[in-house]
Amino acid sequence: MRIQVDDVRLFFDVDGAKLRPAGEALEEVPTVLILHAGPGLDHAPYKETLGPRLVDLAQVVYLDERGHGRSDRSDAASWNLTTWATDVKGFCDRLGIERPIILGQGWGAMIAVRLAALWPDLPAKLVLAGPLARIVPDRSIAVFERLGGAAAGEAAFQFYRHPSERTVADFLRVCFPLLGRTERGPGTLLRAQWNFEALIQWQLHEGHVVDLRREAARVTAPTLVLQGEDDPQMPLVGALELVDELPDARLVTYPLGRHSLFHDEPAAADEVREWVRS
Amino acid sequence: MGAVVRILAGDVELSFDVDGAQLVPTDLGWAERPTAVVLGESTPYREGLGPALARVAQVVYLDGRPDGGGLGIDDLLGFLDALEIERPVLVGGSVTVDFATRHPGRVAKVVLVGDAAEERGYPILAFADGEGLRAATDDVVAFVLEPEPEVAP
Repeated sequence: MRIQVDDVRLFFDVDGAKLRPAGEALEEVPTVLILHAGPGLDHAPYKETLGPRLVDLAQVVYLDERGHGRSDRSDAASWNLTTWATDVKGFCDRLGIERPIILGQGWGAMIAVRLAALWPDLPAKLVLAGPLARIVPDRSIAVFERLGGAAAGEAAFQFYRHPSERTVADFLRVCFPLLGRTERGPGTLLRAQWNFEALIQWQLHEGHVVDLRREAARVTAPTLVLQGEDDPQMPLVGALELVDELPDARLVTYPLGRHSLFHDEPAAADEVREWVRS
Repeated sequence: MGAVVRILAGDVELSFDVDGAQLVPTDLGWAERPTAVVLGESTPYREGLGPALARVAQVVYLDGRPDGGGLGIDDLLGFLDALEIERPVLVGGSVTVDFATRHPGRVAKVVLVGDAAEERGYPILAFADGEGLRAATDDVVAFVLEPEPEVAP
């Protein structure tokens, strides 16, 4: 399904009813709205591991951000955190989604923080998986090199310093496999509808300058932060910078965890389940 | 029933709920499942028929008008347009066939609670009453999964 929000139509999918039989009556369950990792990716990976683990507890809503997946591409000028966050707010208003639990991963977590800082009352709770306050390329490059050797360090360096189709291709070949510690089937890469232009634009522009530390202090929603200690894309130190500023955060780290937390660490989904229930 | 997710379809705010994804992962791609729109008071279908349909389709429960009136053809068209639901299986009373007569391209099949005497240009499965429909879960699931007949050129 797609729905008009401002100047774009956004694709979303839903699993699990909001109203469920409880004895004679119907009872509401919480809504978990998933903001996918990226930029460039779409909601696809979350249908493999995380969503199915939540659907008995919550109505799970998958959203493709503007410029991503099956949502309208829009144009590069509107690909920025504030527009993406405003789209999510408009999406919730349009569909009457009240007080969702917003779960964002990586770049999606950055959108969630921007959203929760602009509209603190919108989310009932937050889950940030592998978030960052700001992107410091040297930190990521160092972890890629530690995990994948000099070639990975070099591919990461080129990707961060000279983003282009060529360096994204090298990054995908050399560094992408390092984002998880267990093998994934080819379906994960094939199912996503990629927009590499959005990734390159992000690396060239906002990705360099964004810093969420000040606005994180305005987030009032209780926030669960899940972080892999070996995440090369979103290194632990960057997540800690964010956690320091969040007024009500609970941090759970996974010693061998990388960026594909929900694929590699079944305990991460257990943690989300507890957070939904609490 | 309280508002669940709601949408402006024309000048009226309609409440709806969704169970079951539209796109489900296969080994290398996606399966797009049919959409079944269940019209009117959904409580009787939340156990049994609804969950059974959600295993093979995306089920959309669409309430009546907030003023207590039944859904009109234009309400339904506005709703389907707003969510880009192209050709659903409609489940409900006489509005389903009225809608299909007016907008034949926008309906895949009809599961009707009511009298379906005349010949129609689309697959239809009819039940005398809601109780009959709810008792026929397996038949409804099989009907939703049946390939659509070839359209004559």
